[in-house]
Amino acid sequence: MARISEETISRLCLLSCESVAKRLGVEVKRHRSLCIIHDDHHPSLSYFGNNREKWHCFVCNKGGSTIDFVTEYTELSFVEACQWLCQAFGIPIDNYSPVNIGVKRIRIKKRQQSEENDKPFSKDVAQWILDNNLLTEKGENFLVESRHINIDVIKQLNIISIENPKLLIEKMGKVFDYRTMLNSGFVTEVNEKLYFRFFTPCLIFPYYDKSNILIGMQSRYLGQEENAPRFQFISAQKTRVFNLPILNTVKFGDDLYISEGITDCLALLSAGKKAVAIPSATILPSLDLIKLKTYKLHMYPDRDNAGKQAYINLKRFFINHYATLKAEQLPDGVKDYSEYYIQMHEKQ
Amino acid sequence: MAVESQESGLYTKAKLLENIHTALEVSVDNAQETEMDCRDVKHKLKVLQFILYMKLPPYDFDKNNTEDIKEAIEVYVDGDEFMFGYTFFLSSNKNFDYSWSYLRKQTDKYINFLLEAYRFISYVIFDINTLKPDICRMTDLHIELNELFAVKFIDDEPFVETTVHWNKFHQINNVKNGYYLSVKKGEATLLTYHRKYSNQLKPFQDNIKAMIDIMEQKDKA
Repeated sequence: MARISEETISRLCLLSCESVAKRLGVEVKRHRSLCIIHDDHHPSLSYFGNNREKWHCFVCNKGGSTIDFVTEYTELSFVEACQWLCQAFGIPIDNYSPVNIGVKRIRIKKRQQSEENDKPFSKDVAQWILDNNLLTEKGENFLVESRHINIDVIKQLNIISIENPKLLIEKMGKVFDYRTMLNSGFVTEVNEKLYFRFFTPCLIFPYYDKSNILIGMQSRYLGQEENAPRFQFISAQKTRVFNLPILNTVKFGDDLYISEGITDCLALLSAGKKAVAIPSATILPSLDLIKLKTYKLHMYPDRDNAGKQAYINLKRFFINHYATLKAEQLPDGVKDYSEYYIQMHEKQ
Repeated sequence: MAVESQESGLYTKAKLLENIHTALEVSVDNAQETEMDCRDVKHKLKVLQFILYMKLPPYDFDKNNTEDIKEAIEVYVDGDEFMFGYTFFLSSNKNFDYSWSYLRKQTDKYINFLLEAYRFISYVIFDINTLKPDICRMTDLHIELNELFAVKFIDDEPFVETTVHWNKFHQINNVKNGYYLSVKKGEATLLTYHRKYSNQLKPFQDNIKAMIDIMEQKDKA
């Protein structure tokens, strides 16, 4: 059997995982992509390291080097993966004549439907988390002190924060059995120990449908860890629009704002506007968005490519459903509505 | 359409669509359109958006790759089960004696329509970029493409302002062999050219240059 030298392996492990992913046709945005292993709906796979030479999925806890990425994503063996990487990135292989494996001939593994994703969003556990946690001082400082979010908006949206995940899991263990906790998607097991899936300290934003039924949760990391994802979702939940219950308070033809991300939505609500949020610029929750077509829709697109793309995608969606989405202009030099809101608040 | 494509200096389909959206918002705000116009415009806009967003191989002006483009369209049209179901729904009725030949004929015609519309839009973008340096010298001139698009060249980004004559939207169906390209000053047509896909823009461009030179000389005098 062919051997790949240690030196070659070391060189391959220094390659950028992002470049490898792109070469294999995986879409990478802001150093993240949909997980290549589990059935992911929100990008959970992060690329990190000086050269983004490592990858890790925060949901299924898998990760590794460029070689691991290729073996996980394709049906290639370790040696074949090394061989393909060498060919794709022009690295000579010692004592070995590579056979011809073109990128087009690589068979991509069918993405595994993990056991977890067949399970529905665990409303009971999510509700318990909401009922047994409050907005801590850290969370309040972030929202109220730094972002000037209206406290009534925070209460209305039932936003909480979590700082002590060990204690949370301990308390949870007294209420739910082991299997329920694991199945909920909020808890993961590593070396027979249970861990809270969201990076902490974090804010928790609950998602409700129009009938006020809890349908999902999103976290916003408040710590200093550089490699931690800023936002996380429970993988079992589908992409939904945030703050759907507000539709019960808007009438046909009323103004309604759509923001990209929850933070801008909170700022819009605090400014007295009716607003909902899409959690990502790329995945549009069509079945929720269709409910918005009877309103006069507005959006403050972020002043970056992702923001412009989100606006274009939404505008295209609404044109196809005979509704219009009007772009509101942010003042020069302001990157998003949150920043604009903070500036306005501080001027006042 | 990627946002990055908007960053280059050339006029693109994305910029054209953006222009159309902006102009439409202004006209809706000013309530210039009647209710019926508005109702139809939203369908027309949807068609235009669809044509502009079609993910097809770029039109090659040197090689004429229409066959490749047609194949790509066939992949979409024949592969879309919802569309096929709708085509069946429309064609299978007693007026056509429940015949499938009507369905086949209409599907073929639809593929040709998409190909022609896509080629027309590709030429529109090409012509706008080609004529921009000459016509932008005279700010009171604008061009019209098949009576459908009115294009002004402006001083601010994106340097081109396109509006759609929605009442002439049917002109999108009349682009099989070419289209009419006119230079206008207000309502007056100064030059017209039948732009065939087989011919070059250069003779028309030369005429425009000559006309602008005369106009500039007159202005100086």
